Amino acid sequence: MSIDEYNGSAIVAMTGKDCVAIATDTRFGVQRTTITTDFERVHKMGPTLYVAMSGLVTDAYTVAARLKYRLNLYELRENRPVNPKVFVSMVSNLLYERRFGPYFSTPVVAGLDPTSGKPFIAGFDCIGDPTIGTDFVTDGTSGEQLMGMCEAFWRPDLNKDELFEAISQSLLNAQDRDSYAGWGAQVYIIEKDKVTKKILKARKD
Amino acid sequence: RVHGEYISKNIQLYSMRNGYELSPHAIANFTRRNMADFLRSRTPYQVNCVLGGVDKSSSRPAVYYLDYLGCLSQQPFAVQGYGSNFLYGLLDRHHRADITKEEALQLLNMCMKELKIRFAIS
Repeated sequence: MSIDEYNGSAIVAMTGKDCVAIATDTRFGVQRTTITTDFERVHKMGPTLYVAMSGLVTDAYTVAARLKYRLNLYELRENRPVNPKVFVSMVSNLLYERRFGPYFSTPVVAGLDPTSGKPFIAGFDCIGDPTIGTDFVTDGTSGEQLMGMCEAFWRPDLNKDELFEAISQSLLNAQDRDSYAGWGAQVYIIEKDKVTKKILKARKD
Repeated sequence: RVHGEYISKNIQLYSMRNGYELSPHAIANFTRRNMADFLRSRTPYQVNCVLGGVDKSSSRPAVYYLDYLGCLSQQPFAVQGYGSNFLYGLLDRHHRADITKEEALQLLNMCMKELKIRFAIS
């Protein structure tokens, strides 16, 4: 039993034309037992910046809280919303601080540049190595399944509805192949002026 | 027991210092933070908790599942330990969002009965 598979999760972020989407499953389980099916993995960090945490839930909470703390201080000092590239450095720094006793949780960042509106997604490993994605980023126990599904469904320059379909189908079908993830799904579509949260009906097993 | 005392005394201290009582949500998060901080120390807490409370101002009840690693989840009902294998199914079947106090007590009695029959407790 690996510590990364103690709780289980499925997370995916995809870019579209002037929009990004981030989606997660909603199962909170402890190994084989499912405790709750409405668990929120996505955390709002800014008006167009969202982070989803995979892996061990306790570390997911801790990292999200610490990140928000650092972000708040940054925004108070700079008096402007953070740029996603800078945020990625912030995340990376936070995780690398624990290089030899890491947090067993990896974030996936999805957002739009506050000035240019360019879509931005990034994934990390548990010690903070950032991967800035051009098409999609996946994470969680269903990470590999999601990679395959995204590769099949993603195309460049998807509009927000096509993006929603692509990310939803990728997530639903990938999490069905993973016993530790599933029991529902949430999709956040992030555009320049609004963010839409959609809750998907998924297989309840 | 030590962990329980530590938490409850700190909650009391907070209300003494600040003049108001903490909400269940705040207490749950405080306890979680405490567990998470001690997890990577030389003396981690090996305590699984179920927290419950009613918010004084909004009168909203809340039940939380908190395991020894610090995973916190607010739920309509929570079980810890080996009994969870039996009781989650029973609670899923009989619990409703608008369950009354009497029905809830009956449901708890049903849970205890189930444990007596299927699980080796007296």
